[in-house]
Amino acid sequence: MGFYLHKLSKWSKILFLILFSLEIIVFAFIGMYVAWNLTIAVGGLLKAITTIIGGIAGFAAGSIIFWRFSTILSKGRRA
Amino acid sequence: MFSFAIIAEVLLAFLITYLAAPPLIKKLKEHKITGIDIHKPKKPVCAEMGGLAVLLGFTGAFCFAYLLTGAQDYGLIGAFLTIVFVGLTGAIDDFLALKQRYKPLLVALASAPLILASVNRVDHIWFPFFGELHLGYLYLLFIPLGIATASNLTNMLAGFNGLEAGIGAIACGGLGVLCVILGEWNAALLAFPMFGAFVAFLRYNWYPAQVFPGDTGTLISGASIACISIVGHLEIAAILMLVPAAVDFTLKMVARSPFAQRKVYGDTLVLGDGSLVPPRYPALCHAFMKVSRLKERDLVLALLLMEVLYTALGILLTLLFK
Repeated sequence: MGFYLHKLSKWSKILFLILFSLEIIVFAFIGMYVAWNLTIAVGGLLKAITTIIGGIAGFAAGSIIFWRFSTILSKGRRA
Repeated sequence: MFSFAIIAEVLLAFLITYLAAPPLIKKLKEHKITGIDIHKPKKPVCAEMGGLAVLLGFTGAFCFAYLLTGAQDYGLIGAFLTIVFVGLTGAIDDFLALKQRYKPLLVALASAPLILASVNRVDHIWFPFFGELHLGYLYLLFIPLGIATASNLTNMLAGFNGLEAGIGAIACGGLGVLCVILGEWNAALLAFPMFGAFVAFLRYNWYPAQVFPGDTGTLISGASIACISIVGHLEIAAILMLVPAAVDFTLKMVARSPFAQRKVYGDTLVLGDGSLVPPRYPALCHAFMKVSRLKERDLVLALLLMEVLYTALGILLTLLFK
């Protein structure tokens, strides 16, 4: 995929990158979902804090993937 | 009465900021409170600390609307004072150039009015699909943490003509619309004057800028988003609206030398035709500069487009699931 995307026009690439950034939200959601289920038996404050930390971890992972994708989009090869 | 007050305060905030900015720019230049516009080939000098005009417009319009509606809400007053204190913290920072690590502490301190006004009011954050996460008294700790985080996020995603004011206008306008739809009129009274003030400020901050908002403008942008969301119980919408700034922050933190990247890697290079060449460290702006050869104006448009997407997503998710 990376071999063809870099041939898109300027604004197509930008729009593609903006839409791709939605994956960050998906990763944050996955992080929250995993943390939520890990602490399903605990409940209360610990569950709330763990869920938020899970969301932050997922967000960080999604952000790194976003940066790697921007490299693929710019060079047409894997970073 | 609230509908009339909201329309009146948008117009008033716009008018005050629009009229206050030109004399302020003149005074700032006279007193050499200026900065270099590093993203242009000729590196022109611009007035700094223009956020004071935004703060003036917001304060005047909010006080007018508060007196007009007789809202009498401690939370609203706490949020208003917090935004003003954060703005003053930004002004101190513009004068004294505080170290990055002191800014979150001072902004957290400035959030004291909202903490005091929030005791026994709310103790949970609502998330779509997950429901309410009950935090008890820990919620009070989340207020300074949230305001300091939001302020510093908007402070870090800055430096391009029209970006800070544009993000502030889009996010505050979006939150205002959401507040009106959900009937959170008190929070709407906070959101709309900030929207009006930022839109007026864009007239002077848009490419090519006559004035920069400075930390006064960037810090109040984030503080307003956080305060409006706390008063209107719209935390998830605010979090989504801050996603572009949060991505920028995260990318800078995961790289080497997180707080000294400009020293290590240097600034963005500006070519003769105004195109930007990013330095070799991760950041949201650099991702856009990498994929296409962009000039400053195009980069700001791309980032504002991203902000519009996340503001729309925040509004949509809140309306669908709350």
